[in-house]
Amino acid sequence: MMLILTAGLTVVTDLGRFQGPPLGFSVNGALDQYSARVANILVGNHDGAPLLEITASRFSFAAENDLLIAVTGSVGTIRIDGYTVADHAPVSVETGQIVTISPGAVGLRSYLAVHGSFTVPMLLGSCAPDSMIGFGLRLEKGQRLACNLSQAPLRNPSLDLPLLRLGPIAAPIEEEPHIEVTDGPDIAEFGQTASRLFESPYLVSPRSNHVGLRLAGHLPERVSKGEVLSRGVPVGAIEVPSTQELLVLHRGRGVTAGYPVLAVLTLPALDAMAQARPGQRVRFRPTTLEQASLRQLDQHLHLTRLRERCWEALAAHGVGEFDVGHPVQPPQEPELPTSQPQPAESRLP
Amino acid sequence: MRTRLAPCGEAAFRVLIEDAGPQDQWEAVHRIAEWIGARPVPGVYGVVPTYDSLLVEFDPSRQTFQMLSAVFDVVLDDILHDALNHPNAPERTARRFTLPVVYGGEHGPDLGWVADYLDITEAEVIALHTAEEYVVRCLGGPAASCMIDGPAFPKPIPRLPDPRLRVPPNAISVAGSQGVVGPVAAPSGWRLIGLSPVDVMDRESATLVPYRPGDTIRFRSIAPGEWDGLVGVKLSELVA
Repeated sequence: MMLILTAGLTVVTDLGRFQGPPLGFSVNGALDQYSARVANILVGNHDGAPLLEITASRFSFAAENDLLIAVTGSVGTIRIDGYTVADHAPVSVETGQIVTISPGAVGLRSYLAVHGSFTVPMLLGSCAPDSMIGFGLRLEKGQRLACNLSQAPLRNPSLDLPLLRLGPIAAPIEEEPHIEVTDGPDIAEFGQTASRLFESPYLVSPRSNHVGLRLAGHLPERVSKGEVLSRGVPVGAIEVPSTQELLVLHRGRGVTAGYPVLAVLTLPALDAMAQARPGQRVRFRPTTLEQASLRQLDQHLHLTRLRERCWEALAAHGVGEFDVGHPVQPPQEPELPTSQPQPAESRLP
Repeated sequence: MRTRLAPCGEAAFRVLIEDAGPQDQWEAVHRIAEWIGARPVPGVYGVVPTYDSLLVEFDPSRQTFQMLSAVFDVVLDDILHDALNHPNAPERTARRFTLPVVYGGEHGPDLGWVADYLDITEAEVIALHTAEEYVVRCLGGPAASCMIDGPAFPKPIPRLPDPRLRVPPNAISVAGSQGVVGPVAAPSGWRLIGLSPVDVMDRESATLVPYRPGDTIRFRSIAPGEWDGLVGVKLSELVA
């Protein structure tokens, strides 16, 4: 159990409700997907295990059993009973200890994963909050969150000290991030004004949230006329619905919209956007579909290697269960050879 | 009729149906969606079908647009060819819903405006709205809203200049030449003409809303006094 002492703005989420969009519901899920995956990998969990998303606030809890945790994303300091511990690393917490996470100087969201994850309500295969249908678990002070597994403190077999060297894994969070986009399917509707997107920076409006971010700047304008039919709109779509601001749709977006799609953020750019604070400036930068696809495969390989190294090290320190915390089986489909390679430890009985 | 694929970032693409009328486009879009729904493609999360297009979303660590476009070119040809040979072979049977609605007053604050705009009476607006059985065209944002064609009004209805910040659940609205039933409370720029005491969304059911594209819905005008007697009823119980 975790006893919540300071809740801040914290929800239980996962990678998203992938069954949702075909049924008319938003995908939602962790807004910084890379940081969420890394947090789960660092504690031996399935990438899609439920974890905590803490938005721009202090969060603290008392451990009511021994836990293995990791905190990623935008992190200031993590203290266990007053002692500072590392972010982006597996950390043991013993029964009775108090963990306090303070927000970072840059960025907006941090992720806290616990080995074995939590038992939480599910809807269409996901625990991700959906503000439209009023589903999801937002934590409150005094609440107890049931953790599925206890994990005795990690011990190095020879030194009796935790010793994990995992290399650089935190995605840098920049003051003025470059946000990469590919051409949207309706870019022609903006004529020559489309290139304005890349000419000057945009300011993130306070009216931004998990549904979409509003950005002020020199706006491209739609030059075509006529009604636009409602169409399925991707996460990351850039629309220009008003003369004041452009809109970057994030994971809480309604699945259909009647505005032309100027450009689409790459997935790493969506992660960076999830860390952009109101009042911060961002610059858009064009990329190609081929480059964006290659970046995704690169990231997949990077996460696969991280998983192998980390789980090998965790196994050597006494962790016995891997790929845990996923509460339901993903929809059945044939496995491709590229999916989820696992280290030998995870296949041990 | 032909299809065109347009990338939407590295994790989605749009399938457009071209060189066909709106009804043929819509039928093709939903035939494709049913087909793919029944036969999942590895790495594809699912499709969002609307009027003349589908959005296909996929896991970019398992698929790329180039790999999938090759697969879809073949599959789409097959489906459309199949559609030509078996035009009346839907993959599932349509269901018919009837939703009771209290029109006007506090339940439908824009009914009077719509009547004035069309230069007809409120009763005539209600008569037009209840006259037809509407085909569910697609499930749209937010939260699987039931998207239907508008009634046989003489002209399209403009949206609100200032969208409402909150419209209650089970709202019946019109805009342009479209209609919608909203399952959840949400901001909306559509003209709100009525509310239903019946719950459109059932959080205990597998799909949360009972209708699918191709089902039909009809509206039945009820008096405000009948509201209380229908509270707690679910739309899924009002199927013919």
